[in-house]
Amino acid sequence: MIDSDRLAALYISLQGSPGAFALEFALASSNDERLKIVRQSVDSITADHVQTRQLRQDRTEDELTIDIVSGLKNMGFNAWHDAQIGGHTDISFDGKGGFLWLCEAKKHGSYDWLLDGFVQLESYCPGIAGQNAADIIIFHYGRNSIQVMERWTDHLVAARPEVQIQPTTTDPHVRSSTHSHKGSGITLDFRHKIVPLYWEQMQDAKGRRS
Amino acid sequence: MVLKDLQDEILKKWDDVPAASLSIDILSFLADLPESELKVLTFRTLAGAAGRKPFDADLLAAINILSGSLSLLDAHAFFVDENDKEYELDDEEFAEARRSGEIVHPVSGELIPEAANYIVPFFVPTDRFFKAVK
Repeated sequence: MIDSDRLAALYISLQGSPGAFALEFALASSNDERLKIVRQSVDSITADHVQTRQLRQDRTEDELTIDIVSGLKNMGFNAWHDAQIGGHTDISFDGKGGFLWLCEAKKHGSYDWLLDGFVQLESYCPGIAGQNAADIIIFHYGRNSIQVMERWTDHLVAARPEVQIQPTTTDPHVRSSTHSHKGSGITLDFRHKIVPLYWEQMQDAKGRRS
Repeated sequence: MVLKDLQDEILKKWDDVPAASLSIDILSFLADLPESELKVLTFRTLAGAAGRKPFDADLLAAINILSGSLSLLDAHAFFVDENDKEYELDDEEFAEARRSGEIVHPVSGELIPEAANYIVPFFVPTDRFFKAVK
């Protein structure tokens, strides 16, 4: 049996629980680590939302955003909705070492609407060390979220050719991009994440809905 | 800033979060301890302060509240070898051990797998904590 003071005991106790992210964040000593953990936490929260999407069909953009903020706060993170950081940010999150992560959360309606979100985010981003990473979260209620993500990044690059889209990761619902902060010149690390919320009530062989 | 101000700040930032009251319980417990007993605060110690025996998500959230942007606790770690000899790790060594799952014995140079079995994380209060409570 592992001594309960050991890190291994903590990992075993917290495996699969939101506490695992809180543990890693409490132990993190660099802003790179903090950023990785924030994004993993957001992924975990939005995965729960996708699994329960049938209960989230009539939510507004603000309500969906607040759902994420609540999830982060419940892990002990200092996350806020609608804080004033360079403007009204949808989600802001700070940590030790001057760490700041921002997020614009948009319900997909048009690609120009998403582009507005991108422009807002880059204007809010301070663009200094530890404060140069942000996410765009796209809540998508339609079909084929992967296609929407591809079209979004095409639209972004057409409007902003200086934005570099990184090769697709293992998750087809996520893209990364980099471009320079207009003020500071630092490279901005943006992640684009689409949350597929499409849900259709099942019908049986006789056309009855369940 | 005094202890009451910190408590108010926690309740304002994390209203409706169960971990907020746990973090205040931990803070109050630590504020009553003599400085000599604040040198090495393990997760087990903090769990006791919060009245929580197992390590659960709310306890970790409470510790995250105190060690995050509030900056009241700093994380450190010991490596404890098979002879129970303790070596404090610096931030880079601790981060690398968590990342790779391995650790190099500081004296023998032996590469030890399953590093988490040999690492004891702990916290130390920050200057901000001491200014508020002592």
